[in-house]
Amino acid sequence: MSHGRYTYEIEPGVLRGLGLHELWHYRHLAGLLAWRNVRVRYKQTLLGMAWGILAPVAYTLIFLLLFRLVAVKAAGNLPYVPVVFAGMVFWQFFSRGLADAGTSLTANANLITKVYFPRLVLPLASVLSGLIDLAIALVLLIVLMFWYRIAPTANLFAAPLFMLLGVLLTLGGSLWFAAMDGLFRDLRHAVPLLLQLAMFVSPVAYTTSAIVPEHWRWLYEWNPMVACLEGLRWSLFPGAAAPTLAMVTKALVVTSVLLVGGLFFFARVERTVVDRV
Amino acid sequence: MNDVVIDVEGLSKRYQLGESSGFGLWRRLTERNSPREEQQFWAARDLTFQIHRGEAVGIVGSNGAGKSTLLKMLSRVTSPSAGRARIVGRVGTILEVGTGFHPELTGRENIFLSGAILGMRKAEVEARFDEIVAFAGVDRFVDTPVKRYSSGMYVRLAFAVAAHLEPDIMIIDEVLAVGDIGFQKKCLSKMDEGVHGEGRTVLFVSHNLQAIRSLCQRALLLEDGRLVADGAVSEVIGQYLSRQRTSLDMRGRSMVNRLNRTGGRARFTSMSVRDTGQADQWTFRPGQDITLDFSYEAVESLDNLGFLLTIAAAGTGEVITSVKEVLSEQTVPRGASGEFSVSFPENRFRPGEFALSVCLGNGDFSAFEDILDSNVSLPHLSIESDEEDFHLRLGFFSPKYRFVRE
Repeated sequence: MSHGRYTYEIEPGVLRGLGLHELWHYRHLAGLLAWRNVRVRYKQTLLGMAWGILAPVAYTLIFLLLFRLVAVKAAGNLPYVPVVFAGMVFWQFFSRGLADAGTSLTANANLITKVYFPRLVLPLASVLSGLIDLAIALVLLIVLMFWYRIAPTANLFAAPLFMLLGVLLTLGGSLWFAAMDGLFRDLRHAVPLLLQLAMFVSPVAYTTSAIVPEHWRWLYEWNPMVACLEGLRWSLFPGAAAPTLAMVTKALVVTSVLLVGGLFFFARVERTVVDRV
Repeated sequence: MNDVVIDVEGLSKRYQLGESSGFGLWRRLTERNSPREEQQFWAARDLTFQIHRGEAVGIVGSNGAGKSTLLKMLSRVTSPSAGRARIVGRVGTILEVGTGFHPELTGRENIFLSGAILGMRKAEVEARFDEIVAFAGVDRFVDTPVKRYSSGMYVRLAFAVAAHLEPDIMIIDEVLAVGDIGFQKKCLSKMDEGVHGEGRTVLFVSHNLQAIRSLCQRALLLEDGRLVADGAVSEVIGQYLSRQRTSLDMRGRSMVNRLNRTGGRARFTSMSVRDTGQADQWTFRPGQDITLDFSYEAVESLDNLGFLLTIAAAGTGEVITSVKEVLSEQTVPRGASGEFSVSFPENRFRPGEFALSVCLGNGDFSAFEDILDSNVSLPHLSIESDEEDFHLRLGFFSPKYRFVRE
């Protein structure tokens, strides 16, 4: 009988790799925890999973009203409702992912103090459960696009790539938040505020070409959500401005730094987080 | 063939006492003048041992001896501060009953979730699903949320999942303390099957010495984080019991800890427990007399002297009752000593573990002079009974009552 596969060494304070191989072994657990999050979130609610789309719908209506009042064409010549709803849906995925995954270590303290599994499973599961909500909201988006008679072009094939960028960005950011939340709890008070602010400096309720002045765009584009949201719009709506190469490059740089740095930081913190939560 | 599956060398775990802030820098700035060394506490110190395939090893020791810390390090829940360990084989850990259970989910959903958290693959859970449900005896409620389960059902299902893990190495912390006696026996025989039938390696912590005797051939004894005995189970348990004397000499014992919390003008010199007639001296059966004897001395002259005893549930720390008496209304001269005792004739405690805290202080206890409690390694009082009815094991006391059926 060979146990080679399961031999492991227990040593203090040594960072031995990121444990991605082991994470693959526990992928089933990540899926189950994601499913648990969604299931528990909507248990004993009357509307159930409809809550997943109510937030983007409500925000879309609020901004529709706001931009009507100030008479600004925030989406240029594109139909405002589907364009902003699309932005809202992805923004919700992003902000919810950051908020949930950011507290996932401390929220599951009862688990991580009692049994070993790669701690990366927890933020990953939170982001995955956001994808389930996203899928539901996407159904409504498709309905809206039919209603407005918007026929996507071949650009649609690029949509999964921009979605992937958004998922990786969410994961990257949430690794930092989750690890820092394990160290000190200040962040959980700051995150909701930061996310509110971040929504206004991302093209969620407006499009970049309609609102952001040309001479500020070089700076604005360092926000990786810009390429992600504009890219998605471009793939869904004919006539939307295409993301520029500079925009996409900046987003890729920021996302990779966040993700790779986040993986290392998380791996560093997860070794001692049990003694703190 | 090298048959060592757990090889531990100098394994140690240090905890920082007090509130820890995340910033090392911040701590260094704010605590520049305080001696850091004194705020450290070694929960496990320089543990070295080897365990071979197919061995069942019990770990005994009083509370705070480092048993749970050792299990947590070996199961990779927490990482050691020094030393190393090498483990060969798949490890299954049960540090608590019901890890990963969610009250809102049904029994079926929880079996899959808890199974996955404990390290079972989906196919393994599926293969054993019916067996788990039958073992727990919850077949009719398998699609009911577990928050509607009775606590007995909940514990049975939770343990059933864990008992059907089939790892090479099983690490189990005090989990048999819950559940009714009948189910406990069922669990023990299931574990026994794993050790003797399937050659599984088991590391087992329990206060139930009988369970350790019947399951394990070998035992480790921990004291204050150190390994003080390692050998045949009967020998090690004998050592453990003889160290746990009924009469505790309190002179000089953990004085730093005691003086830190109290005035220290009077102190306990000894404490003993009487009328047991059982091997485990801090263990009683309901209905037995329990007598606690104390002696004390006055280090300085005191205006008056009082005694306070609180009894708390060991699990939650919630105080369930107390005794408060005056030892002297008049001035107690320096160097004076005295003795007193507290008895609970035909004790009415329900089975469980109780944490005692005994204090000397002034008459109204606005000032404490000495405290003996689990922080200075005072053992728990444990009450054991053969009562099989789960409902009659609930709570802390059996009150006197009258039942009238017309």
